[in-house]
Amino acid sequence: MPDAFLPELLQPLVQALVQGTLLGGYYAIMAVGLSLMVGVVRFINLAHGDMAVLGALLVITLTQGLGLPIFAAILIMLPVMALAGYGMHALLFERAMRGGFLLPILVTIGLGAALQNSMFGLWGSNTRSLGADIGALSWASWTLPGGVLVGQLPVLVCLCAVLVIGSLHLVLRHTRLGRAIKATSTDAEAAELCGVDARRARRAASAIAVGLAALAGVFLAMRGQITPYSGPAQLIFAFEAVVIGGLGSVWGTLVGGIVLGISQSLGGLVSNQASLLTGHLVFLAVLLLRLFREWTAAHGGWRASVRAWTTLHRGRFARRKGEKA
Amino acid sequence: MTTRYRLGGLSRLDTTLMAAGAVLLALLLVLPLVASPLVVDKLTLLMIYVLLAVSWNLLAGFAGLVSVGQQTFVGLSGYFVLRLVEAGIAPLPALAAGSAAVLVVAWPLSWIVLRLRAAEFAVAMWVIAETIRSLVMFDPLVQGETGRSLMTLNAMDADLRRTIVLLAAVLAVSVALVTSYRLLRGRLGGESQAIRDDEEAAGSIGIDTLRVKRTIFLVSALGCTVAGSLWLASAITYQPRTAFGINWSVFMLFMVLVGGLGSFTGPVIGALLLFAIQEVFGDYGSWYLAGLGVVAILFALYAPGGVVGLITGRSLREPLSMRKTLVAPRG
Amino acid sequence: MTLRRLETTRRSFLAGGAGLAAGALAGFPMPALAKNRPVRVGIALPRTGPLALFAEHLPFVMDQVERATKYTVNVGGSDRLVELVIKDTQSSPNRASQVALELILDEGVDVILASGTPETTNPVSDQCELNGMPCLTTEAPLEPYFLGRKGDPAVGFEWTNHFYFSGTQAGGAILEIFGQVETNGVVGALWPNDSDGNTFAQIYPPVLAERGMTLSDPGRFDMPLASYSAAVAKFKADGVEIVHGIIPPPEFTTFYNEAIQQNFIPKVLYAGKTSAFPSALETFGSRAHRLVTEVPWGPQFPYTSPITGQTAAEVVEEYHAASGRQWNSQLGFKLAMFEVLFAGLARIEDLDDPQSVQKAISSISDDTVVGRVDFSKGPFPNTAVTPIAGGQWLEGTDFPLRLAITENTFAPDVAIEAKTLPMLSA
Repeated sequence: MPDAFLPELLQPLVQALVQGTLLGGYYAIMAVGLSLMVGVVRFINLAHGDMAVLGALLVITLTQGLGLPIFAAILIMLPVMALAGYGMHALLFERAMRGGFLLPILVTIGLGAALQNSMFGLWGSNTRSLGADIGALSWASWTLPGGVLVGQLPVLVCLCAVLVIGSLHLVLRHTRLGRAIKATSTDAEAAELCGVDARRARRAASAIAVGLAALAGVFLAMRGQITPYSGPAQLIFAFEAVVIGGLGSVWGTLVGGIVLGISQSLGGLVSNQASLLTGHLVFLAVLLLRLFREWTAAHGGWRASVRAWTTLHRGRFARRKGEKA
Repeated sequence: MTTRYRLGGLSRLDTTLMAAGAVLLALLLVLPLVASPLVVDKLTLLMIYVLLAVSWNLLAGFAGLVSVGQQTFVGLSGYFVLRLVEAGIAPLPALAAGSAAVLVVAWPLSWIVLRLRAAEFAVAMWVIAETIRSLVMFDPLVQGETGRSLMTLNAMDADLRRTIVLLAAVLAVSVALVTSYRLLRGRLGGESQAIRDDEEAAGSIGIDTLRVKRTIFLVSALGCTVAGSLWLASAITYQPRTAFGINWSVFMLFMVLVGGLGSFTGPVIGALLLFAIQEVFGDYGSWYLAGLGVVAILFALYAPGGVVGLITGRSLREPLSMRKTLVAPRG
Repeated sequence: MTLRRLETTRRSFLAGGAGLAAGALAGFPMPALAKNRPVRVGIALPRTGPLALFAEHLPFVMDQVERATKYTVNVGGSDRLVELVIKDTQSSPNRASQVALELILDEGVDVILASGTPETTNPVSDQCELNGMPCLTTEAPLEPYFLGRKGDPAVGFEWTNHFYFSGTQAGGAILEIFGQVETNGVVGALWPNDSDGNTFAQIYPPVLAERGMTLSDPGRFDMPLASYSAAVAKFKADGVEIVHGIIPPPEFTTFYNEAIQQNFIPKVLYAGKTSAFPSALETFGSRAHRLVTEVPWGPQFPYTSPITGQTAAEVVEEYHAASGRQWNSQLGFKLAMFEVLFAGLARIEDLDDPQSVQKAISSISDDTVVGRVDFSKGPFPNTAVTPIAGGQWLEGTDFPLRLAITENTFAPDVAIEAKTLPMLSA
């Protein structure tokens, strides 16, 4: 028995780490588009999760309704969704961004409500899955040394995440479009002066983001099930991965996704109920830590800030004493 | 020579509006005597909408804080009420106490979330709502997904219960309107206006921006919790996923945005509109909700001032405006 | 909050109902019908959403009832039409509560029917109780229905009546099945955080201990769960050979896929809410063979419908011919719901007095297609318990799966067909 390689007690822990990492791959694909939008376009699309669900539903219709092979369905869906992302940016987001920080949030929440409920109207509320279309892939597995079993689908999704994020990194680094997007994010006006079409760069970034969200949605429908209202939960996961990984960094998002996946998976070891909760708590902890770091940085390092705080309060205390006297 | 300016007072239109509002609310108080149970139930819902819209507008319109997590307070108040009732407290006092108890959570929360940047604040509030929902669902009392009904209300006659809930709702709306009016016409209003227009500048002239934001955050949270208790009292069924649902935020956003973000009368108009739209188009189901989303987008992009903005335009003075205007003395 | 989505309202039903009434008037000279106001019956069902499979038999059963009764019933000495107002709960408890209130206040119904898991029956019953509306519910085990609503077994509810099998008896039947297969007695629990899951978490551990079985419980969980890998890992570590789950089909799919991925096949696999539905199992092909289930009703049940006069086997056969789909137990209970309704309506003395309507329903003691429904004999006031058998899915001929009855402790009228076999591990 290969099980002998690992002590009995460690088995569930190792299993949880492996499964969590694989789950993190999925979160990373969902999050990397959001990360691109937050970091580069400085725009949070709160309908990001709904885009994922829309992509998945399109693929489900193409395969289960029209009988196309699933690979072909995905190849048709991706450019359609990317185009939708481009169009949305041109029609909605650009105008919203001109209205300060309030409007993008308001517009994309409205967009989310419109999308979810239209999808409900078109597809109904039944849960749907692509599991049946990929046959044995949904339950087939490989055995790793040490007796750890990994599902083939989660492994493929995780590899796909690395591939997608790697190529996005290369595109941003080495192509004209990528450099245009990066230049726009650093200083849009300066980029314009250097002949970069900032508007087109942002629209392209939005197209990439929506396309990747839709791809993630397809994976979600393969490994489980979706409803028209599954989007908001996915947005939360994506956002958590982005924040944990550090805003706007593409590779950071992969790390963030994996950290989120592992936290959920380790939480699941404690109790099934604790799984999602642990993910949320890790996210909140990272936010707190960042706030603390910002605060200490503003006060010249944490030692100095503690000293400043104590002196400040000692001063107050002394003053009060003085008043009494 | 210095000219002494004074703050602009109330116009005749404003006083008329206020009087009309007071008369309307008073009429609602006697309505349960004559109206059918259905009408009473619907009006309670309308009052809950007004309360939610006013609360959200305080936050977004006056403190510049867009939250998609206000359902935290709606859901929590319902949970506290259930817990208090389980502990043997009569339902009506429990409904009141449950609303107040939420502040115990909102206050420490405000220390953290108000330091976040705009979009992060929005989503962090949402994650907090989800986190608290998970925690609430740990309690076997709410039976997880299934939820629990406030069956102790059974001890009360159905019509009497409806009447009391409506009266409480009218009272809550009146208090909310008067309180926010007084708050915003006073010092806090000026400070929040300064913060919304330029936070850094406001800080540099000695305004404690965090204190101003926290006050508004807590008042807004209180409004949402009272709405949550009232809603539980009229809907009876408490299901965590609905009580902590993002739809509350979508509705609040719609009402405020369409009515007029940052105006005093806007949220009331928005609530009336949402209520009317729901009555007329509610049967179209999901397409009606999708329509709400589209209308919200259109207003955000093309009429950010909402209905109030459209009516008053640029030239006219906004009714019951919270903007401080300076008036030069005559002569 | 009124989240209104698409629903079958009175308007859309009356499109069909008007024709129905006209046909009745053309065929039969019934002047009395025109004079007497119709009986209005509100029905709240999950027609969309994850619980939608609880409503799939409704059109078929409504056709059957129409053929047999023309939706005419004699109430208090005069013939009346029965008008149905059907509303969709969208599988949400909150929506169910709202829909019940609309039926009571908006539609002015005389009685409300609701069925399909505690998520439907409990909120609807609670609204009825608070508003003094007679209510008849089914398809939620008695305990989650009664205890989940914090009912007092000594007092009971005034306005709400419920018939279905008892969760305790169903649990007992499943335990009997577990006992038929040779295992190490380690039971893995998949009990979600809802009223069914919480009920089992309360009542099952002592019962298992009594039988010398051990429990491996990864704890309650919110659905949908992204991954069951932690539960599977725990089951493997604890040497689980029997799995007892109360999870709906989408969740079961996620769990079973991950279990197979991890090479975890228990000897006995039971999933309440899923394994009773062959349509939900078909995607698993031969991997669905030998799953075990409770059997609240089936063609093997030796009962006859008082409305259509058909035996259970005949009802199933006609359903297969009409729909081309395989039966499940909800078919019998949908029909029984109408049988109990009509039996109750026939006993009403004064239709305009809700007390009289409630008295009529609660005094029912009638044979139905699911067995005898007697509201005076249930474990709680105004509840009736129906027989519950146990069975196992085997390879079928007409449909991919065929049910064999393997257990009848709580349904002695039903004959046993085979002994429970362990799952195939390959």
